Formats: sequence, C-alpha cells, structure tokens
Amino acid sequence: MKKTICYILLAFATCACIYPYDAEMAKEAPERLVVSGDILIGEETQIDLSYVMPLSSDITLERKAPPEAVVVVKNEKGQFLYGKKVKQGRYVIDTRYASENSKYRLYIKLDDGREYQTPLEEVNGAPRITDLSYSVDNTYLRLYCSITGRSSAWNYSLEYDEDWEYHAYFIPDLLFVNGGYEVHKRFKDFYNCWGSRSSVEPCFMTTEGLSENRIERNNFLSIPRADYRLMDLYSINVTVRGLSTDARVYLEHLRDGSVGTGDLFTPTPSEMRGNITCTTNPEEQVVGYVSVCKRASKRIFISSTNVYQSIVDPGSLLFFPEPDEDGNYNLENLFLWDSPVFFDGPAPGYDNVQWAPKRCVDCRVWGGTKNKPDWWPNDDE
Amino acid sequence: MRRLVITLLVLYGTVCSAQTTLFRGRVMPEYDFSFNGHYYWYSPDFTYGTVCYDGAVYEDVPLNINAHTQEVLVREPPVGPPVVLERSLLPWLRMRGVYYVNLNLAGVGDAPKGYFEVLTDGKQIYYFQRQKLFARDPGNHNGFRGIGYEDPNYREDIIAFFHLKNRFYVIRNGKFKRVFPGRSKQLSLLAADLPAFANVKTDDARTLAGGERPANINMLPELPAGWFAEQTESSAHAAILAAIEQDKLIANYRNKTYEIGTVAASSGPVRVRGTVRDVATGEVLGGVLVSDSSERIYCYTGKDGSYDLNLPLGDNMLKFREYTKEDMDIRVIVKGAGTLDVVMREKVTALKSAYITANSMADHRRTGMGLETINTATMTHIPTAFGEGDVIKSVLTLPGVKSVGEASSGFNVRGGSADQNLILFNGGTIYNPSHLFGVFSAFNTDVIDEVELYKSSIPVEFGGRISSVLDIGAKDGNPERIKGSLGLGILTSHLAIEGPIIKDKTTFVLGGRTTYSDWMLKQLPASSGYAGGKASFSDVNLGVTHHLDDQNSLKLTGYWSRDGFSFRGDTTFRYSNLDVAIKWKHKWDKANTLDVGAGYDSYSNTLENGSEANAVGAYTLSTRIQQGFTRATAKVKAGDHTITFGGDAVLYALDPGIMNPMEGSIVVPRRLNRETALEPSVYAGDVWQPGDGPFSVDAGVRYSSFLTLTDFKYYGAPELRVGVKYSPLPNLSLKAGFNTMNQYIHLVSNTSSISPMDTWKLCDADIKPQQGYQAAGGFYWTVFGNALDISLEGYYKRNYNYLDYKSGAVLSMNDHLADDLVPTTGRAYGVELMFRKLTGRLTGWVSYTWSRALLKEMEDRGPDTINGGAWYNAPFDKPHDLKLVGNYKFTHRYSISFNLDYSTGRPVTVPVGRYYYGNALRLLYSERNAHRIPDYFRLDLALNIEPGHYLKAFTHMSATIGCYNVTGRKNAYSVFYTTDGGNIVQGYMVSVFATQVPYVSLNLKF
Repeated sequence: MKKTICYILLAFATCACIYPYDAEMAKEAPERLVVSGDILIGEETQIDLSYVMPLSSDITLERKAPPEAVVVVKNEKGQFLYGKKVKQGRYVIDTRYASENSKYRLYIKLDDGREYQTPLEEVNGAPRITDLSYSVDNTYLRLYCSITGRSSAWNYSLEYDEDWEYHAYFIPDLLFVNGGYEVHKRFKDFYNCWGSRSSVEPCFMTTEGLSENRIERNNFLSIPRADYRLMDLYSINVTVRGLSTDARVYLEHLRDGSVGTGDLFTPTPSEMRGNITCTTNPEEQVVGYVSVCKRASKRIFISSTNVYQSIVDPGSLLFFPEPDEDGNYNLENLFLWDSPVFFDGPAPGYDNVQWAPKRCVDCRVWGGTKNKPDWWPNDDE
Repeated sequence: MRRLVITLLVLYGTVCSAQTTLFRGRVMPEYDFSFNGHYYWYSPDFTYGTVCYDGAVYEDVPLNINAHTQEVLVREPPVGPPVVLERSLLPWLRMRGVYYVNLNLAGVGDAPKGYFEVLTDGKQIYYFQRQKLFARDPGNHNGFRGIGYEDPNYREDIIAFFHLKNRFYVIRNGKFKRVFPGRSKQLSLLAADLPAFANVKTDDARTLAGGERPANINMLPELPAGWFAEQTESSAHAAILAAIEQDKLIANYRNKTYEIGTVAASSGPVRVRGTVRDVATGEVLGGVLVSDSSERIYCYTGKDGSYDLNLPLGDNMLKFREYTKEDMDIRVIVKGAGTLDVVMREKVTALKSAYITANSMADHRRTGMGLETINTATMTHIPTAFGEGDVIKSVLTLPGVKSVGEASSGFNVRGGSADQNLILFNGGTIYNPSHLFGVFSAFNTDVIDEVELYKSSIPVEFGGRISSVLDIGAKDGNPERIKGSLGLGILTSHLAIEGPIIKDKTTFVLGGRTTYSDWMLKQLPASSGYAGGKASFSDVNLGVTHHLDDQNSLKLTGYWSRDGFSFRGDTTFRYSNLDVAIKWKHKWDKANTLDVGAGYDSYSNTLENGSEANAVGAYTLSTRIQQGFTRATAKVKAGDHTITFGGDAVLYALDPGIMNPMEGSIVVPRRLNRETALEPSVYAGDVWQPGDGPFSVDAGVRYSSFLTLTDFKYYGAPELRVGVKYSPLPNLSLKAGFNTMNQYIHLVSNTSSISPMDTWKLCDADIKPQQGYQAAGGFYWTVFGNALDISLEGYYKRNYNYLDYKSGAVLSMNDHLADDLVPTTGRAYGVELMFRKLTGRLTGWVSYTWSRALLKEMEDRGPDTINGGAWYNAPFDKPHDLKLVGNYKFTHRYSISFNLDYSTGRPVTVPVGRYYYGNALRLLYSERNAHRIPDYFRLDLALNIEPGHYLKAFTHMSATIGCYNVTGRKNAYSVFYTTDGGNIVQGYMVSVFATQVPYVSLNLKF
C-alpha cells in the first residue's frame, strides 16, 4: 500500500511524459554538401561525400552524392595524394605512408567547379590504449577502456567493432522443406554463426581540465549477460583517435542534435560550422569536420564461461502435434510456425516427433552468417 | 392618528412609570446575532430576577448581562428595548438562583470590571466571569445594501467575532487571584450565597412586577427624557471598537458624520491624516486608496497603513477602497487639520478569488501604467499544479506575462527575457525564483504581504533590469497576538508563525517550507527507475519589525532557500538563495518619508558530476554571485508635487566558475577570475497633479552607472521615466509613458528555460550593458457602476546588447565567454485588451494579448550570423495569448475558481534535413526558432472551502480541491527529433503535465 501511494504521488510529481510527435516534415532540404571522414595517417583514409536529404524522403533511397569529384589530401609543401573513387560518393586515399610530422588538409573539387578545403592541421597523435577490460555484475558485462594520451591530443573519440560467435538452440535431424521433410545431415550449416557490428555513436572523451592526459576505466559499453552475443565467444576491437577541441565540440554537437533527450534543460539545437569551407563561394555552408589524426586500437576476446546467462527462450519450447485419427501427424499445420524444422524424432515412420521454430535451430535467423573471420581463434564451423 | 399615538404613549408611560428610576439609562442597540452568537452572558432570553441598584433591591425584573460590555440590562415591558444599568450603582443581582456581584463596588479593587457569578464547591467561594470580546466589528448594513433586501447573504455577512473568555477567581489571603479549575471541577460548582462583603446595604426592597410598589417611586406622567434617546456611536460602539483599538478614534460606520480638527487658521485645504487597520486583526493596511468624494484628491496608504490628504474645509466624504476589504465611505466635516483612524473589514460579500487587483478606479488615479498588484488571497485561490499558492504562477495569469512553458523558471514580460526582470524580495535580489526546476516558486505565500509587478512605467527608484520589476514584500507580524498557519499539500508543507515580541513595539514573522519528494523517491523500488533520484527543497523566511517611535521603524528580513535534485546517479544539481536586509523608515508625516536600507544577497549553484565508474573525472562545478546593496529614498510632498529622490549602490562579486576535483579525481582545480563591479545610481522624480485637473504627469530621471573593479571599465547613462495621464471623466483615462532602462548583468544560457547551471555575467570591456526603451499608451474605462474595467494598452519596446549564443557555444568554465556570445537587438510590440469584473458573485477577468518579440544579431559574422542577420523569433515569442481567470461564489464558504490559458506555441528550431555522418544518421536544423510547437491550452478548476464561522474555535481550516489541466491536454513543452541511433527520424514531444493533476490542499490557521 505504501508503495502504491508513493507511485501515485510520484505519478503526479513526475507526470512529465514524452510522446511521439508527428509534425509535418519538410519536403525540401537545403542543398548542402556533407563531408564525412578523417585524414588517417598510417592507414587508408576514407572520405564520403553526400548531400543533405529531405527529412520526409524515403530512408531506403540511396544517398545522394556528387556524381564525380576530385578528393585530394595535401600537405603543407603542396604535395598531394589523390583519392580513388570506390563507389558513388566514397573516396579512398592511401595515407598509410604519410609522415605524421607534416600538416595536411583535404581538398575537394566537384564536377560543377565548386572547390572545398580544410585548413592545414597537424597530426593528432594516437593515444595509447593502456587497458581494455571488463567486469561482470548480476546483470551486465561492462567494458572499460583506459587511455593515456600524447601531449598533442587531449580529446578523443572511441569507436569499436564487435564480433561474436553463437549457436542455435538445437541441432535438427530433419528439415521440413517444400511440404515434405528430409533427413538433415548438415546441421553445422545452421548451428554455429558469427555476427558483427560497429558502433554507431562515437564516444567522445576529453582530458582537458585533468592533471594527467589519461582516461581511466571509461565504461563505454555494457551488454546484458543474457545477450546472445555472449553465448559462445565475444570479441571487441576498440579504436581511439585524437581530436582537436574544436573537432570534439563539433562532433558532440552533431551527436546531441540527433540523440537529444529534449528535457527541460537541453540546449536549443542549432547548426554549427565545421572546418570545411567552400573556396569558390565562402557563403556556402558545408557540413563536416575533417581531422588529421592517427588511430590506436586494441582487441580482446571474452568467453561465455562465467559471463553468459542463458535464459529460456519461449521459442525453444517443444511442440508435439497431435496425430489425426489415422495416427498421422498433420504436418501442414506446421507451416503456421515459420518454416518448422524437425529434430530429434520420427516423422512418419518414426515413433515420436518433436519440432521447434526455425529460429531455434537456424542461427542465421538471428542475423549472423557463416562467415567466420579469418582471425577467429577457435575451430567451430 | 395623533390622538392615538398620544394615547399609546400615555398608556406605555403609565405602565412603565413605576420603573423609571430603574430603567432610565442608555438604550442597548440590538442586532440579530442569533446565528453567530450574541452579547449576552448565557442566553439572549431575559430572566426575571433580583437586582440591587442605587441602594434599592428590585425583584422580578427581566434581567440579562451583556458579557461584552459587562453591563446589566433590563427590559420592561417585554417588547421594549433593553436599558443599560449604570454599573457603578449596581453591586449585585440574582438570576436563576445565582448571585452576580460587582466586586469593584464590594471593595475588591483588583478585580476586573464587570460581574462575577458566585459559586462554591463547598469549601471556598469561586468567582466566575464570562467575557465576550469582539475581534471584529459587526459592521453596518443599513446603507445602500440593506439587510435582507439586496444582500442575500446578509446573515453571513453580519459577522461578529467573539472571543469567549471564561475565568475563575478566588479571594485568597486578601488578594483576588485567578485559578484554573478543571472541567469536572467547573461542572461541580454550585451557586453560593451572596458574600457578606458584597451585600451592600440597601435602603429598601421594591417589587416591581405585581409586588408592592415602594412609596418613594416617582410617578411620572410621561416618558422620561432620554427614554428613546437617539443611539449614538459613542454609546453603542465605543466599547466594541475600544476592544480593537483602545486609544484611537476609529471610524467604522459609514452613516455617521465625523468632525475633524478644530477651527482652522486658514481657509485653505488642511491636512487630514490617519491609519487604516484591519478590524479583525488590527494589522495596518497598505495600498488602500483613500479619496475624497470627487476622487480627485486621493492617496494610497503606505505599508504602515497611514494616509495623508489635503482636504478643503467643510463637508466631505472620505472613501476608502481596497479590493479585499469592504468599501468604506465616511462623512466628515473638516474644521481643521486632524486625524481620523479607520478600520476596514474583509469583504465577505464579494468573491475572494481572482483577486489580482489593480484596483479599478486606481487606474484612473495613477499616472503610471502597467502596475499589477497581487495579494495573498489572490495567490491562494488561483489553481496551480499542486494546490499551493504561487507567486510566479499568479503573475503568469496577467496579460503581457508569459513563460516558455509549464514548470519553467522565470517569466517573460512584454517580450523581455527572463533575466530582464528584477525580482526583489524585501529589497533583496532573487536570481532564481523557483524550486524544483520551476514546479514551485521560491516564495512562501504565508509570509508575503503583497506583490507588485511593474511592466511598463517603472518608478525611478527601481533600476538594473530593462523589462520589469517584481517587488515582493513580506508582511509584518501581527501586533496583537501569536498567529500561525500550516499548509499541507501533495508535495509540500509550509508553516508560518507571527506575533508580537514586545507589545506595540516589535513583531516577528517566521515561515518555512519544505517538500517530501526526496522521501518519496527513496521509497520507490529500484525497478521504478527513479530509485536513485533525489529532489528536495526548503526555504525559511524571517522578518522582525521594530517601531522605535511613531516616526521611526526598523525592519530586518532574511530569506534562505536551497534546492537539490538528481535523477541520475552521477549528476546532482544544487542551488541556493540567501538574502538579508535591514531597512529604516523615517516618517515626518504620511507624505514626507525617508527609507534607508542595506542588505546582502547571494545566489550559488553547484553541479556534482561523478560516479564510481568515472571516479578519476569526478568534479564539482560552482558559480556564485554575491552582492551588497544600499539605498536611500526620500519622498516629499510640496503642493501639487510629490517628489521622490535618492540613490542606491550595488557592489557585485561574481564567481563565474569554480571547478574542484572530488575524492580520487585527477581533475585539476580551476577557478575563473572573479568579477567585481560597482553599480551606483541616483534618481529623482516628480508626480505633478495640478489641482483637481484631469492632467497629471509623472516624470523622473535615473542616472545609472557601472564600474568594473577588475579592468575599470565604466558605463553610465541617464534613464528617463515619463508618464502622462488625462482623465476627462472620473471613470475614463488615457495614458502614455516612455521609459529607458539599462542593465549591467546578463544571464548566459542556451536553454529555453532558466537552468540551475546558467551563469550570470557582469558587463566588462567585451560585453556591453543591455539597454532598452519602452513606449506605451493605454485607455482605461470603468463602466457599470465600477463593476467592469476595460483597459487597452499598447507598447513598443527595443533593446540592445541582449546576449544570444553562437552555435556550439561553451558557456561553462569558459575563460573567453564573450567569444561564444553574440549581442542581439530585440524589438517587441503588442496590445493587451482586458475586461475585469471585480464585484458580484462572479469575479475575474479575461484578457487577450497580441504581441511579438523578435531578435536580430547586431554584428555581421558572415555565414555564421544567426539566421543570416535577419530578425528571428525570440524563444518566448507567443503572438496570441488568451487568459480567463475567475471565481464564482455559491455561498460565503464555497466557491469555485477557474483558470483558462491559451497561447500560441513558442518558437523552436526543428530539423529540416538528414544525412549520414560516419555510421550515424544526423539531422540538419532549420534557422533558429523558425518553427513553433503546438498551441498551448489548459483549463484548471478548484473548489474552495473557506472556514466556517465557528469563531470560538482555536483553529480554522480551509481546503481547496482542484484539478490542474482538467482536459488532460498534452501540452508540448518542447519537441525534439532523434534518430535513436538508427535510420529512423522520429519526432517527440515533451509534456510536463500531460494529464489531469488533481490535488487537495489543506490550510490551517490558528
């Protein structure tokens, strides 16, 4: 009763709510070039060019990009490296062997004659990832990263790539295929899978204001222990790059404008100017901030032992169809169950039949593939 | 016919003549108080008894005792008026077998005057006295609104507040001592014989009704002189009023003529002064309009309740008007300079709601424009989200006053930003006027006397902000007795106590408020998502007033508040206000005064950011502003001129940022340079009212200056304050005004609402003062016998150097803050139409405002200029605004209040495009404030239950049951768009009170 009263009172006290708001979205967007990517010293640089799309446009449409462009990385001596177009709007420049002691800028020229460039910038040295570790509590696997910076960079962005191996719940004996069934002999084709994912939102950090240029045990990711990513083997590769203060502020501003919470004290969103200018028309606004930096990365593997908490998946409950009057099983009904797969039991001619939804016996249904990374450390297939 | 009358009189006289010796005397006035109590000792019924009077004993006389005046009454014949017997001639009487003695005549000199029942417990004699004292005047309802005719609530309106005192005494060791027998003891007492010492020797015994007639009674052929003597105030009410104000002449009857002064030395106008008090509490009443019959000679009572008028000799009518009090008209014959003290009583026939009063006729007398006055009755009856009277929410019901959204701190007046309002509490500056991020205002209505909002014509003594002045004053403590109030709400409780410290010299008022939201959050389970949250606030007010003498008084006030909240475990906000002030008031007379004051204000906020996961980066971030101030203002009246002059100075010390590491953190301690500055000002103004003419002028100039003590940058500028009024008719006025203002302190914010972490910034070499002017005109018309006010005001404002922020600005711990800010110029204009009804069962007002508030960057920064250098909507620009506030009273005790609010949605910046940046979908935003959130609409209802008339009760409880946002409309506070880390752009709307919010509020007065 006490809690009930408290809930009621709290409901009054905190009845602030957030509702979907379906305002009419703009059908026209200002034509504005977007330049995404950094000049990465010591590895290949990837620059994406695109245009802002209307908010109401179909999300599935291809990104609108300049049909042709010259994308070049220049140093302070006027030397340059040409970019190679790998697909519409994407250019790759080989900066693997560029000196980290030079200054660089990005130069772009579109086929309509407009030219853009960034100011010459020194290379933000890569910080050192001193620790990449994890802890486990009752609910979560928490990942931590410790960074020690170099004197030249006090701002960092952290991104990561995840890979994991998992398996289906059951190994089937029979497959129901095209209205019939067949004995399944290649269960490995559906049992072990590998998934991967890259971080969407970078994690920005700064050591400005600290007595030391280091980040200590920053908890950048937490994964529920029942998550299937932890079922067999999990791996994460963390990449950290150094940024200037202006770059960090700009990128945080972009992020906050897209994932804002809208609470009472959230700053009013606005557009911020990056470091790309149109040299042929200084009034033109361009979206993007191109930094010059080196990156550092570190990878760890996490076994499921003492980490993964298996839970009962409702889909794994076995189903035993009732036989008809003749003692036959009405297999057609199984079509109602997302392409059922037989396992562990007899079909006609067998004494017992057990079956499960496909998602319980086919790991691919969960989004994984059979594409095992070359560097994956175990022998599963 | 004449013969019949004479015959009846002779017959009446014949019947009564035997008693003339006894019945000669004053005639007791009779009122029908049967529903509220009565004067009499036990019952209004007269009882036949025995009385010893003037040396004779009379038996079988219909007797009663007036327990208020402690006088014995006789009534004979039964239909006749009761006659008062002279107490000095009456040693004892006996009714219902009980003796009543006049102990003063019996030689018990230290006994209170009056009569005492003689009782005994078998061991000793007890003397019991019953007293009934008025705390309130019964008033006069025989005038315009006759009892039972035009006033359907007359029975409730005739309110006599009796304080019943039952006291027991004994004579012990020759001394008369008060004792306190228990209830059972009291009930066990029986009637005792007449004490020997009280048995005054009588000449003879006389039987009047049916008994033997004494031989020495004179038989008079006609009624004695004075039998039907005209009832006069002095006889009927002097005692009543003496209970309220013993030593002063109190005029409280409207149908009596008072003579003021003796023969004047000159034939010109003479000065009439006095004090207006509340009849129930004895508290002085400020803000009462006092005028003559022509309403051309008038003044307002000061906070000490005093008034001062120059009246012509001869007959006149003095009018006293205050919205919550009953109108008082007093006929006077002015023979010379003199005083007339007046009591007014609370209006019970009109509605207690609504209640934001800019008194109707006051608009026609005041030269200035845009002054609104709010009293506590107003605040407590306007429905609010959690039922607690709220200063800021009440102010928001006025035309021209807006906010960016519900539960937001601050308010916007006529297109000004929130930091352009000077909020004064007892003269101290309040920098954050809210609790719980804007859900409650920071002021406890229990201790507030009155709130004045100047939104157009700002008096010369105010400065430092360019938009408005909200002047909040704490009341003085009750001079008569200890009083208090206790309020219980859903989220908060408040308590106030007031009373005298030294009788007639020193009073105090102490108030406090707190919330239990913190406790509630702690009770919640972890699964609720709020278990780690904290939200609490509290505030304390103290005021002490000391009257040195009739001309000098000192007032010491203090205010402290604190807030703290955290809904995430790693971040906690705290902020605190502290104000201390002392004021000396010297009054040569009502019109010539001097106020000198000084004080200290402090506002600080702190952000604690740290958690176990990020212990090395944990820190606290604080800002603080402190100011010491002093001001002196003199007001002098000379002929048609009322001159105000004086000066003030504010010394600022502002810490824009202090960052310190928390335990285990490697954050480097850092402190931005403290800003110090001095803001001295001098001012002078004159209100010129030439005779009784229709014109009046209020003109003044204030020279404000500002000197930074860090880099010695100096700014200074004169500020003009001009207002003119033309009143061709007493109920019709036209006004115009022009003001210029300067402001030397800025609030730096990039949020729509005042945030706890917003920082203040003093002007320096890079940041210039805000400057602004306002030109306004108005039309005021009072119609239907002062029942309806119609006003139309228009204004045009400009301001310069209002700070907006660059995109991506870093406003916290920024050594070069000016680089992230841009000065803007603003313009605002609009018209406000208002209809206000102040009388009748239904009271309230409806107002419609059309206005615009626009900003434009003052510098050209090329493509980075906000909106390309064009005018853009200010965040608080809401063109259409409709407000309806009212109250309907069913009976004296029950009324409903309602509040309707509609406005255009405020401007926001929304996305107009999207693009991929890295792996994430990003949004491209429109020009600043180019779109609007949905329009705002809200209806609130409340049922008010006033305390009953159980006037003997120690406590009085009132209750309000209400519902905020009755329609449950999901009003948008803001909208935002997010990609949720995926490929979908979804818009969301934040609604602060997205549903009906019912509430119950209980208030206990004692």
